[in-house]
Amino acid sequence: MLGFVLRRLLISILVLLAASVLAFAMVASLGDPLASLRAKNPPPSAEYFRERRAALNLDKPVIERYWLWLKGFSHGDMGRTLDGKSVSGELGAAFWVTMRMSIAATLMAIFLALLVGVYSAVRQYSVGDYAATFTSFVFLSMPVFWLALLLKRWAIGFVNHPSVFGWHPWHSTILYTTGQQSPTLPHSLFARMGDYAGHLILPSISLALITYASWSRYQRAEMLEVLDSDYVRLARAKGVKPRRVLVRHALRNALIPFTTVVAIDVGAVVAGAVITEYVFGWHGMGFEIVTAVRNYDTDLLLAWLMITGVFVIGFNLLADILYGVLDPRSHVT
Amino acid sequence: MRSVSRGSKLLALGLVVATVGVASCGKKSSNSSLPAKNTSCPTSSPAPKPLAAPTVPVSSIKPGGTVTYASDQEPTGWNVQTATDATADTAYLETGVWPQTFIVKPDYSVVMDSNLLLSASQTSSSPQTIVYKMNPKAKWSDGVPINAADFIYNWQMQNGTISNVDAASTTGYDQIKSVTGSDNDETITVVYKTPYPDWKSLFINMIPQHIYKNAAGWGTVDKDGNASGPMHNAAAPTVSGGVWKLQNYQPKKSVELVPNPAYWGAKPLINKIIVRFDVTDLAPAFQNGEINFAYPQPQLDIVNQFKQQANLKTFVNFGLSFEHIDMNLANPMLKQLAVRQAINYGLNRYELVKKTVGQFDGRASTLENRMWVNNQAEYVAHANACTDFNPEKAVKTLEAAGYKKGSDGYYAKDGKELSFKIITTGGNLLREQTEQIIVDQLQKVGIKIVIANKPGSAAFDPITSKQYDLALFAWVAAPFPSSNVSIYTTGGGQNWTNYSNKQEDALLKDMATTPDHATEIKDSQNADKILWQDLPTIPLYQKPTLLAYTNNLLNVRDDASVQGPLWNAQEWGTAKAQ
Amino acid sequence: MTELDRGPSLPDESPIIVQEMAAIESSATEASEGPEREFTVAARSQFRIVLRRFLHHKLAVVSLVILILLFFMSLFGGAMWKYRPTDETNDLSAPPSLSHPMGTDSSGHDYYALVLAGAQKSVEIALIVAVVTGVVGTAIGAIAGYYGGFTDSVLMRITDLFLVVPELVIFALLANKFASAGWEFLALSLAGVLWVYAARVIRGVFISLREKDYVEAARALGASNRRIIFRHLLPNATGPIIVNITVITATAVLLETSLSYLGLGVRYPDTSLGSLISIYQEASTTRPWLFYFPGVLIVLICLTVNFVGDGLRDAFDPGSRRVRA
Repeated sequence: MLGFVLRRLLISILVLLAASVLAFAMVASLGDPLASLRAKNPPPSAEYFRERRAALNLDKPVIERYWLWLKGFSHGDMGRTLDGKSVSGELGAAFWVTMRMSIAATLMAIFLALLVGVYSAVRQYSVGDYAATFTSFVFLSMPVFWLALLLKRWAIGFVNHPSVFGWHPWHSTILYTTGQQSPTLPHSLFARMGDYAGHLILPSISLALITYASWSRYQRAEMLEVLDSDYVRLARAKGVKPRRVLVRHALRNALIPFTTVVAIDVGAVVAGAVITEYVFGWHGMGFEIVTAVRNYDTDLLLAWLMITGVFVIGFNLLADILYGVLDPRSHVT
Repeated sequence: MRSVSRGSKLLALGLVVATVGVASCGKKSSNSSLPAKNTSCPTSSPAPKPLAAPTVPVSSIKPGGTVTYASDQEPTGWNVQTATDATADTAYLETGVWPQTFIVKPDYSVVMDSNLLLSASQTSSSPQTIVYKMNPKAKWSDGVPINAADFIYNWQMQNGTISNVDAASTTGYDQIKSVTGSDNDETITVVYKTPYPDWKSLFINMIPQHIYKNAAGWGTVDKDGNASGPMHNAAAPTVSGGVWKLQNYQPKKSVELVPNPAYWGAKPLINKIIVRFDVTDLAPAFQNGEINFAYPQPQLDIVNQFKQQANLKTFVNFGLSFEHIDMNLANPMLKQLAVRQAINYGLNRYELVKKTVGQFDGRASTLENRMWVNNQAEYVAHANACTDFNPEKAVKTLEAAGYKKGSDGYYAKDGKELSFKIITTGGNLLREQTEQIIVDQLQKVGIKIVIANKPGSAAFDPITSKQYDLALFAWVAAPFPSSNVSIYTTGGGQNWTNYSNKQEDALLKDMATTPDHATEIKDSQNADKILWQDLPTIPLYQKPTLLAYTNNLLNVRDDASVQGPLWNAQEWGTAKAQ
Repeated sequence: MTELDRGPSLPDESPIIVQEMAAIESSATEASEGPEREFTVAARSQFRIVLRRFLHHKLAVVSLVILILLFFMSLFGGAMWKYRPTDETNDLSAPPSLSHPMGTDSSGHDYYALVLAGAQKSVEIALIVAVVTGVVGTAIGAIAGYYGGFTDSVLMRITDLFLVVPELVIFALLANKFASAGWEFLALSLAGVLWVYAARVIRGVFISLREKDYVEAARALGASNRRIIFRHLLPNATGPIIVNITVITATAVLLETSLSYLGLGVRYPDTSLGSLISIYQEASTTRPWLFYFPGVLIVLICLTVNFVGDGLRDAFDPGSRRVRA
């Protein structure tokens, strides 16, 4: 197992390196980070341009620029954004903002997927199963931005309808539609947590609904397969209580492949979070990547890729390990 | 589940039937015939009156409370005197932060700030001499007095003396001969080389010289890549010379305006204005109590969404700014008067207003004067959008100039197609819609227009560097005609159309230097008449503003001049309980 | 993205394969009959079985009918409708009515014409992506899966690379540069990324198929690799390939509309369902027809594609519909 993990890690590092070369080449060939300065009227002096180019290493050959970046990065220096801020500071904050949404959405989606998947399998071909299947297909077919827009309008309309929470004496906001937190945070820890949660609810529900749909389909298929297996039949034949069969025998085994699917899909969840952030005006990784791409900000873009890359690869590795640990039949070599 | 499925099937089938059902009607004929002229033209336009100032007395207002204002655009930097940072939204934010000798009220009257100055008056007309007397209590928030040194610095910054400042406009300042301080620098004497009738428009948004005089630049990045310069976007100025003070700036998110503790005049009644830059979806944010004040670009759906909310007050107002099309005369085809005339004849501005701003306010009308807007007393219509629209004339003008219609319906001459790019602020729905109407209308007279927008503030880069064909944007005017000098004079700082006409230059020069107000107005009208003949620009409409706030706020009144909605924020508050 | 590789893999002894094996055995003895007949017979009988199973899946059949109508309407409806998207009528911001089934916008454009134009772009892009990924992805996936070795390693490393670099970033970078390149470029760049996912699925199918007894048998009888791939493996992989294409089609629609919503996809003068939603996202309570119609159409297209895909999966692979004993 250790050898497997080490080998995978090595490959992952190589892949990350290749990705950074690819991204660097793309950014370097596609755009000029000083384009917006160039368009200024009156244009800044030629000397100023020289200074800027030197500061950004733009006067050096592409290969040397890449080497300088790599050298800095391997020493933990992620460089600076075009407007001079530290990339690690910018992305460090943004990463946790996006994580907040991604983790909340993933937990919600797992809960929903298990609930719906197991129910659909146990009550196969019932009205409930059909309804659940249809619903998950609808969410599977919905663009995340449209769902987010719908949810925002409907939830806010509902919460603020006088007949819903009209009775509460303090008219304070419960759910928020903009940003990951209020511009001025309350002082007490408890109130601050409430503020975070209020901002988190609508975006993470949008993301969770898009995500759970395929997971529940997968869980249903796995459950059906397990329920049909010999050992479950045997357990039933022995007279084990149906509830115990379902939980101890069936669900436990169906969870093994489910776990790996969730781990592999984490990358897709983060990608969905980028669009959801856009709709809800969050300033997380999605905002940073849009900024980086728009300005051809090499340092910011590469650091962004490395952080998400490590994250995605990490979860894929975790998926493989989990599979190995949970399923005794599999043998990783 | 079944019913849902059936519903969607019916919907789909319905669509197909609708499609196939009309197929037999045949294709609509192509644009072989020109569009018809406007049939019924109104005789007079119902121009909305400027607003008066609000009148709730301070004594009946309860102090305290926070206003959360969703701003349309984040400042690119904090010195609105520079071309880079001179955006309307930045000016709105800073209207109570930097000292201003005169402010423009909602009814366009120009009033001296009596907290800052004891008096300001013209003491001699030859040479024109203005004497400002400072209020001795007037101090920057760090205790340094506001005095002649600041006047001198702000003058030099805008007359080209200080080279690292890219001044937005040098009009007026470049006519000043000297600025001198006396009486412990509390009396400032400004002497003009040539008379400048609009002297009240100068010395506004003054920045503190004692802080910025020695600063290296206006938001530069040094060799190590560190952001520096006190006006850089990353750091909002902490010093104030007005009622409000900026604090807690979080780039891309928000900044706060809090009462300046060192202010010597009347203190604001509310505790804080939180200015947010991240609110893109205003209506739910209002409904949800996340914001309670907004001043967005008006657009049909936004106006109607606001009006749906019972606890909001929504006002559409018509201000001093106007939308217009700039034509870059550096383009060899746009250089020809015939082409510009054809564009003017082919453009149905009357219809355009009806389909854009007319949709949410019936008072909207076309603008027929570049110097004065519809609701100013001096306004005179020098054109008539409704009757000027004449597709036949457009086509004839082009053909007389040697253009021939190609097989694709567009005119061409010497193998070059009559085709132009148009740019505007991408993401601004009203402007994008206006653009599309322009494209459609001009296509019908055989002129091809291609949309080439850039998002946000980047949209203005090609305009200010004069690399465009057609541009759609607004001029935010002060109520002084001299602000037009730099736009239409040969080689003027904001003359982005490369327009040049000696007669126009002479009229504008006379307008800006005559001591006689009546002559000034007469010159401005004649200058506009020439512009209607030469057509470097085509004005479209006086731009509506949209102000919305929760109805518990009192004393809010839009100042649709350069001051914006926060001009009297110190008087805002909620009603005292009876 | 990752739902692409989620089709249940082919069970070991599905009836199709048994059927195939019979056909192979007979063809092996009657080699003189020529390969065409062998192939057509097997294909037709398989086709008939699959068709019969598919027709039993009512939701899938209904979806297929709707889908065909939607595609037809999107591709040709615009040309038949009485208004062009650029035509301006005198009805400004009118709600849906008989003359304007989806209402009008503030300039008086017939919104049905605009939605049809948007749907046309979305569907055209999706179809290009489906064809390109179907061909390229299947070819590369088949080669990698069957031969293994170098091709396989390269494919797997490319897959890893795409796993790390989110496609959104690639498109955003390209879109910035090629703002004027048009929607065809967008379609090809979408295909340029999505083929990887298709190839990965097909590779998996081929790896499991190449170990089958009948392949061993064919090989022992001296069949060339080419023959094995084209005569034996490809027909057996038809199910997963088609299902895979349906999933990619739905993904392409969702991806393209999302990009267009963000302003990175289809641009004016072309329009897409995503750009329409982006323009009218403020209109959901004031002029709801402008917001809801394009969105509902996206969902309808993807939903029917997914249902058809689901029906096909069941039809090709009845194992997934096992009834609980």
